[in-house]
Amino acid sequence: MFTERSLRVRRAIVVVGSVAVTATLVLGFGHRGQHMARNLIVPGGGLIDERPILAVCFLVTATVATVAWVKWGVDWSIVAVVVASTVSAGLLASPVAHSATPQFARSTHEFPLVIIVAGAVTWTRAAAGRLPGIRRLGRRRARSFHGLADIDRLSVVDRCRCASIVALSAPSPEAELDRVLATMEDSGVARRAARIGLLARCRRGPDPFSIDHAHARAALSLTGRLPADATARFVDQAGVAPGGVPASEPSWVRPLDGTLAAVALERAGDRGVAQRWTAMLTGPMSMRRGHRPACWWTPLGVSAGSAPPWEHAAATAIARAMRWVTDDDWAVLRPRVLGAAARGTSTCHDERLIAAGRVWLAFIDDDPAAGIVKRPSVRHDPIAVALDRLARRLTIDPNALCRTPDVSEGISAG
Amino acid sequence: MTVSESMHRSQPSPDGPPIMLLPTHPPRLGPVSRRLLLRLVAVLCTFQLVAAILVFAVGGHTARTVGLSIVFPGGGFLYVASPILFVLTAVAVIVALVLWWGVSAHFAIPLVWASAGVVAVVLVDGPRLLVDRGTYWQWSIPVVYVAAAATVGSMVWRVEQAYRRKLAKVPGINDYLRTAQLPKRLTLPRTLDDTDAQLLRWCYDFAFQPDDGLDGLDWGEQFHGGTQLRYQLNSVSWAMSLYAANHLPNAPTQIESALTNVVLKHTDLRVWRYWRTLNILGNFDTDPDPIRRDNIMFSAFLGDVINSFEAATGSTRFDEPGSLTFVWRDGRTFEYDHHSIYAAVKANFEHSKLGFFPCEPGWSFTVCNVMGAQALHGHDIAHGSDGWAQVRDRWQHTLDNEYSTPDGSYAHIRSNHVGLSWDTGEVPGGHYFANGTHRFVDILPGHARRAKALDLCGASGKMAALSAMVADDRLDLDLPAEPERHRTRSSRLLPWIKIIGGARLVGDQKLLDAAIRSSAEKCGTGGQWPDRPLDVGAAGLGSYMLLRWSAPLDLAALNMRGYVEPAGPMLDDTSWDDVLVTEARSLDGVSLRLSLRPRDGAVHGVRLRFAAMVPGCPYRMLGAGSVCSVVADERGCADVVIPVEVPLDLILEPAR
Repeated sequence: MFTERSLRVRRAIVVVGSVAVTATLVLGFGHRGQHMARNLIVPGGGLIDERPILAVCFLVTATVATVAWVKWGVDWSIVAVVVASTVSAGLLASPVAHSATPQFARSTHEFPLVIIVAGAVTWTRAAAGRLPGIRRLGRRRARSFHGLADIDRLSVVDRCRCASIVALSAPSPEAELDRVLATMEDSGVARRAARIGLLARCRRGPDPFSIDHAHARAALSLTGRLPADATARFVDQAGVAPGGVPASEPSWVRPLDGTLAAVALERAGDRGVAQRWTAMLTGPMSMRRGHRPACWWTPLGVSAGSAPPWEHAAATAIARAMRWVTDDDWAVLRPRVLGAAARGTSTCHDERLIAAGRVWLAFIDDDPAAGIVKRPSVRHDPIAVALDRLARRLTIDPNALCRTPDVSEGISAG
Repeated sequence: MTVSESMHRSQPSPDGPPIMLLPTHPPRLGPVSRRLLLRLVAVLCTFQLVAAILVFAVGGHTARTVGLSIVFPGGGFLYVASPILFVLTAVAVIVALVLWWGVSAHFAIPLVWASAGVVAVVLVDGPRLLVDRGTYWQWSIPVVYVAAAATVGSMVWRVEQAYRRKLAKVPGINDYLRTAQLPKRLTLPRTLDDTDAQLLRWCYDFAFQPDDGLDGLDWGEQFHGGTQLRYQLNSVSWAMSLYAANHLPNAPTQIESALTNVVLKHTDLRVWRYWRTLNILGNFDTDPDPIRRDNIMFSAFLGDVINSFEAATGSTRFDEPGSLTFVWRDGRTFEYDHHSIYAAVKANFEHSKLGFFPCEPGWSFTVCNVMGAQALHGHDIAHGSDGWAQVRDRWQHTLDNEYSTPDGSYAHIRSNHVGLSWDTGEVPGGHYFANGTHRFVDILPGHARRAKALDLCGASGKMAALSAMVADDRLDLDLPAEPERHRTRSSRLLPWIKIIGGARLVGDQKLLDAAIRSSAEKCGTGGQWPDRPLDVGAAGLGSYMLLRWSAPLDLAALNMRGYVEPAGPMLDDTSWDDVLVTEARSLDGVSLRLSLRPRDGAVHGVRLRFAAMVPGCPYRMLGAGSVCSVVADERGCADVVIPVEVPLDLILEPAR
């Protein structure tokens, strides 16, 4: 695990390097250099005056690359687009100044590109989801889930998260357990890991889970499907991973995946994971203005975005069950959980938030909130159902996750 | 002299106190309504004065357009030769009128009026449709003034006509009231039948569905349309309270739990979130709190529901602070209980200038304010408070002076802002003699007697004709289905509900029993939860259950009595999920009448745990052709195990 000091040095190097490159381009390469420098801030920005079509192409490519970076850890793609657009500007821009002095796009320099693009994508998605017709469709889809029976309809990441939580909430009915385990054996989980490995890091090999993929490896480990040598590798990698646990996708550590991975690692015998993950939760992934970050980028140790309320609540509730965090999160989660309980279970996010709130309430003495949060019926979304099961288990035995499971507890290797 | 002061009484009728007579010279409007209306007239006159100056003194096309737009909505459009826009403005005014009443958009009509004026001014020098640019219709000036005068004149004429028509009836009505005989309320307990069991089972299934379930209710808009979840929940709660008090006083466990669930369903966001919209539109207030301000249609009704719940069960669950917590979608909580709801209703009464406070912002309905009075009165009975006594005089003054009309009926609705009333179409004629679930019986008994006498005036003949048709304890009528209030379906039970209500009103036990029996036979669907056992919507089903189960206590009597601890043995516990307990009461305070039936199929061994027996006393249980003996232990408890394979009527009584 890297120290904060080393990460700070890295960030300083990147900032100084970026400023130096930009200054070098602007001061050393004349008008062309100005065009090139603009591409460092907004890919395609330096071509907008002279090659607008190419500029738009770069802008679109940069957007796609940013999504690929945030979603699958394909960080080289964004670098490639920036470099390509900068070089293109250098080659195609006029060597002499235009009549009008080119201006940098105001304010854009204040935000890293990733925040702008990711924020725009997220906002657009959320705004679209609030449109009456689309909202109705979304709710209809949410209601079409039938709990854990529909776990295979979840995305691979959510499927893995769900399997991990089911494992923590064990014992489960036999048939249900088989279904959950079957989803982990589904080739889709390994296929996604292999594709991301290939795309982001050009990894090939028989084991797609050899590195990263915290959600999948945590699920496999907690459900007893991770072979011994893979488990040992899981533990070893965690010990030196920047976030204290393997990343979800290359270079991205996410709070829920990280928490589940930390639980799996502790059960696999990693004695130091509790300390490392607690340091993450109280350090880089601590709460700021009522939110925990959606992810943490390992190369520079930068937090980005805000975790969705349900993910915040679920991650911290499990961490609370492991005694890795205090009760501080509940103060900010409480109104969100109560609001979700009032809105009902028509969306999967609300349903998950309600269930995560119930996990929290296994540790918090808050009868008024408990009376409200118990009212909605959690029965559609598989993750919500799994969290609800976990809540019930923890209500009966708040220390259930802290103890090392004995032979009869948890999920066997099957 | 106010109407209240001028009221006088007839000679005492043989059956009780005299019936109040109607005032012979009632004013057209009460003092507050008159003041509000004068304020409106003053504002309109001021605008008309400005308009006249613009049209006749200032002159010029723009000034005339503005002036005529003020005289009549869209009047400026006629002047600038845009008749289509004039017609569209008229349509918009009608829509705005509906929105004014429907969602308290008080700004709607002024907005349309002003917008039409602005657009008309823009068009002064603009292009015209079908006529040349620069065309102005000078003839529109008298036409607009005539339209304005005709509109105001027709309104005044209609109101005056109605007033004079009703005033002319007063001497005749008073003659009738002097000699009117009021029938006694029907209090004979009914023998429960299969339909009662089906309805009770439906109520239990409704109550015990998941906490966030509202299955079984009709869905639709929540403002005025008859699909309001709040009223449907109210009626189910009241009906179950009556059942608990009249038929299950000695086995309250299950029905108290069910009632608790139904009351708690009132806190579901889907039931009360409409208020935020109304509060924003009508009060420009973004506070979603459904109790604090106005919204008597929710707060008072809920208060009355809790009154009935407490009077039926004796439970003080909802007296606990925060026992009714309303959570807004952003997580804000509004914590209330029986006492704080009562306090909010009382405070709203005290702060209202009109005396009645609004349902929708700016609109005060008589029925809802009657419910508000009931909410205070019931709380006073249950908790010894005196809220109703504190507001009664002012409340009655408002009823008698602001809402009453010469024939003894009350306007359904009045604007708190402009003092106007009109027929909203929700009740026949927009007036009624009494309303609310207690029909003034508890809050103003004298008014209740007069209202009942006036209601009888129209109903007695019809009920007598129907009573004559009763044969073999049945009323063999094939009544056509009637549309529900929300108009999305028709129901065969609705006309029967009217007959049953009419039979109760006139005190005709024979007609009542026949109508109850025949209605079940003709409108039964055989459906089980979540289907309804009778062909009717949820609101109608609630009303029907209320009428079926209103003896010996009806809602008014229950709330006036308050909770009375039951005497005699109690059924403390049993397999509630396997057995439906349809009756458990003690007529003599010593024995227990018990009716059981299997819920889903024969149950071979049902344990009945009795309590409140005389310790050490031997008891016997009679029924189903067998006798079973048991001795109460030192705590007055005893267990009996019996098979429940068919409906059973049992009596538990001391053996000596």
